[in-house]
Amino acid sequence: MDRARVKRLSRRSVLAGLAAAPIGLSATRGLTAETGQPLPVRIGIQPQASWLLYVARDFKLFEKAGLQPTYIRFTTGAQSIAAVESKSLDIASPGITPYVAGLAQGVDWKVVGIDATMSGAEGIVARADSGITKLEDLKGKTIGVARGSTAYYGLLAALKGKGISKSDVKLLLMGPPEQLGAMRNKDIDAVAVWEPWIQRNINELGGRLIGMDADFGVYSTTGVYAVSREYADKNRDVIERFLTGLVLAYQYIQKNGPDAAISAVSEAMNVPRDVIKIMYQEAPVPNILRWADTGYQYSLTKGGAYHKQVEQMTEFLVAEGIISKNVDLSNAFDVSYIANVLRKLEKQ
Amino acid sequence: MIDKPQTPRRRQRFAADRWRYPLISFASVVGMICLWALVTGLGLVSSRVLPSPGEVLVQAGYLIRNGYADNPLIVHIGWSLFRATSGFLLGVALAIPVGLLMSYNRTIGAIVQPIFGFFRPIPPIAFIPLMIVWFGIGETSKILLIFAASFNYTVLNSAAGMRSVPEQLIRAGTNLGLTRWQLFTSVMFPAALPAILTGVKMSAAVSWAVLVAAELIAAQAGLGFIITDAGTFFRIPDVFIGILIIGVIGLGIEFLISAFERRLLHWQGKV
Repeated sequence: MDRARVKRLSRRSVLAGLAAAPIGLSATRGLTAETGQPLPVRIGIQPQASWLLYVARDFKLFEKAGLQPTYIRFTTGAQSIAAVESKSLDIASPGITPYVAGLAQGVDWKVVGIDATMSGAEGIVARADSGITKLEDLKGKTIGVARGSTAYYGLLAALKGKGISKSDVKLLLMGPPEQLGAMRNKDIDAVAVWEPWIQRNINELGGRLIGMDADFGVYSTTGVYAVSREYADKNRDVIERFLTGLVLAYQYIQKNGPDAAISAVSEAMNVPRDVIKIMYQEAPVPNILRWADTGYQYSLTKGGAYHKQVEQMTEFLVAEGIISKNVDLSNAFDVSYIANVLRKLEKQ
Repeated sequence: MIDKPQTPRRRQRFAADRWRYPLISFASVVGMICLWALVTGLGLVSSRVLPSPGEVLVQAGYLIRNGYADNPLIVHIGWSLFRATSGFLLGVALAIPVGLLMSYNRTIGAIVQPIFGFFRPIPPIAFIPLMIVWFGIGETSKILLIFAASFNYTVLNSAAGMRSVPEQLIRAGTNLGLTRWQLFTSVMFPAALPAILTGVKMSAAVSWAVLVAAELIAAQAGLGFIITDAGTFFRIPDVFIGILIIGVIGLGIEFLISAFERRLLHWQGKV
């Protein structure tokens, strides 16, 4: 372990001790009164902008909420589908696309929270010498994109808004690392990708940002917290304690600023802090206190704006043949857990 | 051993033996499929993680009619055949002479062996980022990855085959007045052939095994592409179909090489 990391951990530990304790005493008194024995839980974690999850992990806020967490690292959301299906994972944090793909394949799971809101941190970057300065210039160009990803959807939705169809562009299917190589070798003119790859394309290759999903009106670019229905029916308490830990993390960030979140995600993604700082500005912490608020962009309520965006994205995935059949999203999001946690918070 | 005369009874037994083992192999495959159907039919494993043979067949029919990711299934198979075969043939074509030379000439052996030994345990997938940077996202990087894996097995076996040529054969050839070239072509190379062909068979199998990794390099079509892409979206029947097609093709190639081996090494097993 290098010195810098030891220093950060030590500083973080001190901050944790100072900052988390008052939060633990005041904010959780009502929430954790009935905890008793900590409940074990296996949480899937990915190298992505899971601000709340990483702060809760690093400052042991799940433990404060009465959990005994084990973190299982995945490189992709797809792996967590199999893990939930095989009952070797309790709470997964996949992207919305793997979540919907799992639903389409009959995985009986539901969303209980929003992990990351990436609509401001996913978009299109063009090579500086490609002649592309706006969306319309993408016509006839070669674009690298990961098939079926939220970036894929965001790109085609953005192009559709400008009257450009899929056949008007040449899509080369590839993941973010291959996109970087292809941009470097000038095999492609642009990429549709998420952070930190956007910054890498800009900083390392001099790429030009054309726009983010949010600029094109696409707000479905999210990560979610998903649990199997079978697990949820038997472990309501675990899920509520998990969400309590996230609430504590949110309160910590509101009180102390985003430094801890930025450090944690920087370490998890192995990306420099400067880049993660930009990412934090583009894709801030989802407001967990409003997940039950129908007026919030990322509310879990049925029929809300987010629900509608995910429905549109699902129809797109069916049209593209990425999922074989449309799925019923009417019960895909369960707001009752966070609503209960927030009610307890209000009472104390 | 002197060949015994072919009596009618011996001919009958020979004819029966000729079909016995292929029948046993066929029955083994059918047995596996029946076991698979039984396990899924009894619900011992969720169909989401192990689809039944029937489900896989139905999905295969769907893929044949509708293709995958905007390409017909035959196009995916064609691309994989092209990549695997190219990498395999290039690997084998270079590996056989290099392997033979390594054993024949100790200086060359001393130069190349530590380099091969260093690279041998490194899985091809580890080279993917380098392949993209050095060779781009086109076919070159994919074929080179398969070439590297294929080369490895055949070069090892070719060198081992050459080293294991019995000393008596070499001495006999020398005593009969064969030149070095005649000794190599008429004695040493034929004696090393069984080991070389074993390496070729292993290279053929490993070429297909590495194909899935190679098609991670921005492949737009291919069986490895299907497997990886379907896995991303938890389309397990499609993953199975990709795996099964690769397995069937691999088996077919092994049969072909074995048939070629039997013709070429017709003398093997007889004194």
